[in-house]
Amino acid sequence: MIEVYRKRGSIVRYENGVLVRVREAGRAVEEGAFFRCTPAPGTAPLPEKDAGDVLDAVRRIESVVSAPLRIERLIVTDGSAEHELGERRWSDKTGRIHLSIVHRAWRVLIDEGSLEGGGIESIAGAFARLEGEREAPPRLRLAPRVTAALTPSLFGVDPPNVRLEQVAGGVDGKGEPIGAVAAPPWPNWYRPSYRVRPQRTALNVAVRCSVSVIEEGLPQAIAVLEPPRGLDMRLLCVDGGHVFITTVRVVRIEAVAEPSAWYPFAAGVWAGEAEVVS
Amino acid sequence: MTGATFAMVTRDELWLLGAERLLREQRLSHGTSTLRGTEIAAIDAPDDRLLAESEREIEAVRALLPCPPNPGVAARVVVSARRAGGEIMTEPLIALSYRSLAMVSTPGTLTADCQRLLRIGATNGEIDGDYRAFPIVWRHGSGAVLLHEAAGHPAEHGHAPIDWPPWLAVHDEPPFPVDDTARRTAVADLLGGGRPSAMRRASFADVPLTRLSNVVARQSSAPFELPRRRIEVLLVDAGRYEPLTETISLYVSAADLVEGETSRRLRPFVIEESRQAVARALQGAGGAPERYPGVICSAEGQEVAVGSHAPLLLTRFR
Repeated sequence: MIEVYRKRGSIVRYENGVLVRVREAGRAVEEGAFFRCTPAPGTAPLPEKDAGDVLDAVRRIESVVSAPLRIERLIVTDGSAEHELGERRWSDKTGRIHLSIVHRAWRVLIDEGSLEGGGIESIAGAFARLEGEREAPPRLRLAPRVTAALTPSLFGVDPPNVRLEQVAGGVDGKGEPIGAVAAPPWPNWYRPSYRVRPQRTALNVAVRCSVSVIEEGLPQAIAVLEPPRGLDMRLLCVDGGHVFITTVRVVRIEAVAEPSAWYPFAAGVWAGEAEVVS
Repeated sequence: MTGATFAMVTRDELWLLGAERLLREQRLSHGTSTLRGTEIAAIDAPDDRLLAESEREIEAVRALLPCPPNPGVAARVVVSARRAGGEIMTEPLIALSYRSLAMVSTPGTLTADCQRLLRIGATNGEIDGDYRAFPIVWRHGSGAVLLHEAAGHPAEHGHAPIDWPPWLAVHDEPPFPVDDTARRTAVADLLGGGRPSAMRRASFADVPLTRLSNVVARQSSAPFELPRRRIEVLLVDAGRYEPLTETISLYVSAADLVEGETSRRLRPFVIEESRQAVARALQGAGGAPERYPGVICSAEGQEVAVGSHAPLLLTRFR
């Protein structure tokens, strides 16, 4: 069986001071075990994207990151794409922010699935008040963005008390609706680019737990310092008026609240607050 | 950055090698981009000359792909052709993988590199070793990867020079006359405060960045006696330089613990040191620079190949 997929897209990307506009169209063919892809330059390109939303996001972020902090890396992307596979046609829009902020020899990483950038100001404010490193507290609340960063590491680990589910919504890399799925096998296809061979995986994953009430008053991890290494995480934490960095190994997830935001980790993650034991 | 039009074609094929060669994946990418001030406009327009040059190159590489007796050898062939400032530059690379090991080869060295990869991959890691407990001999030019991380990346970041052994010289020597912004390239002294001259990009849609192109380490009068008990590094899987702490991490994928006439394969291990500790650890060197088969260097999500050459090096971390 031969599957032919076509895509045309237009993006505008701010990358560390440079504004990049890219328009391209491509075609990918799967024929059994063989995959090939080529540009399709005869295809009418999508119109060039206006950079207004991207530059607004950049200005907002730059206005909330000031000394003693500095922006090490800021990438803001706004894109539109149209897809075609057989008789199916669909389109989508994407907004992404990737930000790394540095304070002395520490760095926090922030990844957002929209251009709104909500929460960056509070992270920057706390990071500026950083006192230093501390031993890991025995229990922690994870902000949704931290739960999201941890979620891909939970595949294959089968932690007690929690399960990973695919959340319904949108269409996959072959134009099929993404349905709610409680366990593997994952029926949907992930195709982040026409140059990437699609693969079945869980999209828009959420961590579910029988307990959804998070204990208040625990120290809260509000951002990650680096991508998790398995269940080991370096975290920026707030405890009352104190701000510190700690390294934790998540040994148990006690509770997970309802997902509140989508994050661009792996093939997408829906995440809410979580309570963990370290 | 000045105004310049850049064009690029990349052909990328994944082959499974064995009694017969199977083509599993084939990608073509092309486009042009124009840089004006701090704005880049990129579109996937083809460049006929680059398409032809890259097709000619990849056909030549296909003809060279070996048929090794061992199953499980894969070759990712990547040929890029670039046009900048009126110059056309082509670059063929072959990333070979076998079991958990990898090399980046060239058409001229493909047969020898594949044989070496199979030879190294024939032995499994059986013991753990503390890299600080033994002197390390860096074979096959692998010391270039250590110096890529400890001297090259700090130079990219403009970090201040540190004290290196006087017998050591490390330069970035771009093999291209112009970079991806059409500026002339030049040799940079990576130990003496020089910054790599080349702005490079992984694709037509990427922002050009100051990157290493071709790291060459040389030695003069630094003889050493081969320690009876030593680690011999054969292959390095990956490296990283953390600019905030000025530390390197090197993931050694194949190394032997040698004791006199016996040799045992170590399990993969990680060397983590400050760049100052790397400089202090250098004890001696011998011979002319040897080409290390491959460094694919990633920065800001852009992967570019960087040539790597070093003499036999001896280090001792404490």
